[in-house]
This record gives sequence, C-alpha cells and structure tokens, in this order.
Amino acid sequence: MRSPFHSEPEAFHFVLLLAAVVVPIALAAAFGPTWLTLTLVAVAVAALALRRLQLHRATRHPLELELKSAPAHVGPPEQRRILFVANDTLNEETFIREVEALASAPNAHVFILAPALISAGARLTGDIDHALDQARARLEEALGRIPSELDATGEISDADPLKAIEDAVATFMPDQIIVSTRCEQPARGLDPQLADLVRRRFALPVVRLTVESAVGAS
Amino acid sequence: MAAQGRQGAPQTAVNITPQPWRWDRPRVLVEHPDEAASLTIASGLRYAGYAVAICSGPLDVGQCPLCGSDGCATAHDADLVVSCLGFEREAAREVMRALRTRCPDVPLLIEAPPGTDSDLRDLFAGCHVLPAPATPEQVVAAVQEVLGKRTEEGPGVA
Repeated sequence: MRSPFHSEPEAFHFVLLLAAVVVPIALAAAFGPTWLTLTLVAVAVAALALRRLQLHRATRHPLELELKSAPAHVGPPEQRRILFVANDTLNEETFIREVEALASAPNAHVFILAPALISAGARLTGDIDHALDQARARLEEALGRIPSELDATGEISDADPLKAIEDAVATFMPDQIIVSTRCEQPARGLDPQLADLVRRRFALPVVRLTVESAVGAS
Repeated sequence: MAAQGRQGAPQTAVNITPQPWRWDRPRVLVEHPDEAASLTIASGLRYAGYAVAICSGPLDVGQCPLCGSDGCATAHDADLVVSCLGFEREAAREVMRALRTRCPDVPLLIEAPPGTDSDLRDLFAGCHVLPAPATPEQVVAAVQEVLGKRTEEGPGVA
C-alpha cells in the first residue's frame, strides 16, 4: 500500500476523502440523531474494510496481468547479471552461500535488493524508519560476509517489493532474478508468493530460493 | 477460463492487459503459447540486444485485446512481432489479421509449417516466414536479419 502522503496530489486527495467522511459524521453527531451518526460510521468502516480486502486480493491473486517483459541484456555477452531479492533471509547461511556460488562465476555481477518490510499501517503514518534501518543493517551484514573480491553490491528500498523489483530491473537490468523467502509466510518477512508474482511480470528466469533457519534451500 | 497451449498443455487462466513498453528500443514482441520456449527465445533476443515482451496468445476468438476496442500498446510500439501461435486455430488467425490491419508498420516474423492452406498464404503475404519448427537460435537470427534489413531500408518498411 502506498502512503497517501507520497506526493502532493495524493495527499490532497486523501485529505479531501477524509473530509468527505469525517464532516458528515461530525455534523450528524452534532445536530442529527444518534442512529444517523452510527449508520454513517458503520458505512465508512465497511467501505474501508471492503477497499482493503479488494487491494489484498488484487495483490495476491491478480486477475489481470501485464505481458511479461524484460529489457535487453547489457554488457558483453559473457556477462551475467543476477538480482537477488531478500530481507528476512539475508543473513541465513543458505542465502550467503548461494550468493557466493553465483557471484564466483566468471563475469558475474550480483545485486542484492532488500525491500524494507513496511506494514500498511506504517506506510499510512509514514513511520518507516525502523523498517528501513532493519533492512539496511541486514543488508550491510550480508554484504560484509561476502568475500570482497566478488562483484556483489546491494541496496534497500522503501517501495512495495514488486515495485522495488521493477525499479531494480530497470536500473540493474538483470539476466536472472532470485527471490529468497521463507517456506511459509513469517510474521515479518517477504511474501513466499513473491517469486510467482515476479515470474508473471518479467520475461526473465526467476528462481525461488526457499530458506529456513539453519536447514536448507529448495 | 483455461488457456490451451499449442501442444494441448493447459495453462493458468489470466486476463492479459498489455501495457506500454517500459524498455528502450529495439523491442520485440514474442507470441508463443509455450512459456518455457518463449523464455528461451526471449533470453536469446535479450542477449542479441533486444528488449522483449512475451504473450501466450488468446484462448479463443475475440479474446485478444488487439482485436477489440482496447488495442494492444505492446504490439503497436514493437519494432517487430514474432508470431509462433500455430495457425490451426481461428483465434491465432484472428490475431494475425488484426496485426496486419492494425499495426501495418510493424514487421511480422511468422513461424509456420510448410504447406499451409491458401487462406494462410494470403494472410502471410508480405510477412517474413520462418519454417516451423524453428530453434530459438534460428528465431533470433531471423529477427536480426529482419530488423537489420529494416534499418537499412528505413522505417515503415515491413
């Protein structure tokens, strides 16, 4: 979910919408009967819940999909550019080993994207610093564990994971995407279905690296 | 809705909504019902310097946005369309007709078996035809040949 204060027009629309909801409720509370106030509050809550459900379904089960696409390969033909996407699994041994293995190949360039785990509520209030700090700390630790002679860099992102990957594809132009998640949805972690969503969007090989604490990958 | 591949393999049902290209030219749209094969072709094209988009084609007649009022931004803004949909189905022929009439400036490279019927021969007139079955390397080489020729001849020449 995007923050309603992401841009000036979005903030304006949000304030307008808020006024359209709050003003009738306030007027009803001040001058109208109690049942009218309660009805308006119930309608507002139901509309909010419906919209949230709609957004949730659209993210998890997109009914409409764009065509898969990908930018041209950049660099010499022998160069291989690999985009890793991870957050909660960044410092697992399995993930580090996988990065090392692929980055060790000749002419391999690795870029690790760490989308911050920002809840919908935090986005709404703009309270995203903790999630960004956490992603930054995990990424720095992971990059610190990768031998310096390997070509591996990384970046955090405050965008929604899919949007962050879209931006990374546009700038890094990978030849392969590896999405590292847990097997099942953790309380605070990337969605295990993220790899499937990425696979549907990009005309690139997409691998899901399933990482469990001190167990292994599939 | 369950799409059917050329080899009869069922595919996941989706409603395709073509978007404008996000990537720089040259751009190639690959229409292929088999996901693995289209990814292999896309990989070859990417390494040859082309941005790519992949479309698995419509399930049935009237389902391709190109044939409807919405149109297909991806096809319109492509530098070349590679069509490997298999033309035994009317849905694939309909897409081909729409490409010819709605995107007349976009060159078409068609993978088609030899010995096609007269309807198809008329439909393919003026297109670049690659005998089926073609390997991904042959498709990439044909794309390079067509787009190379097009550059030499100037824009708007199919």
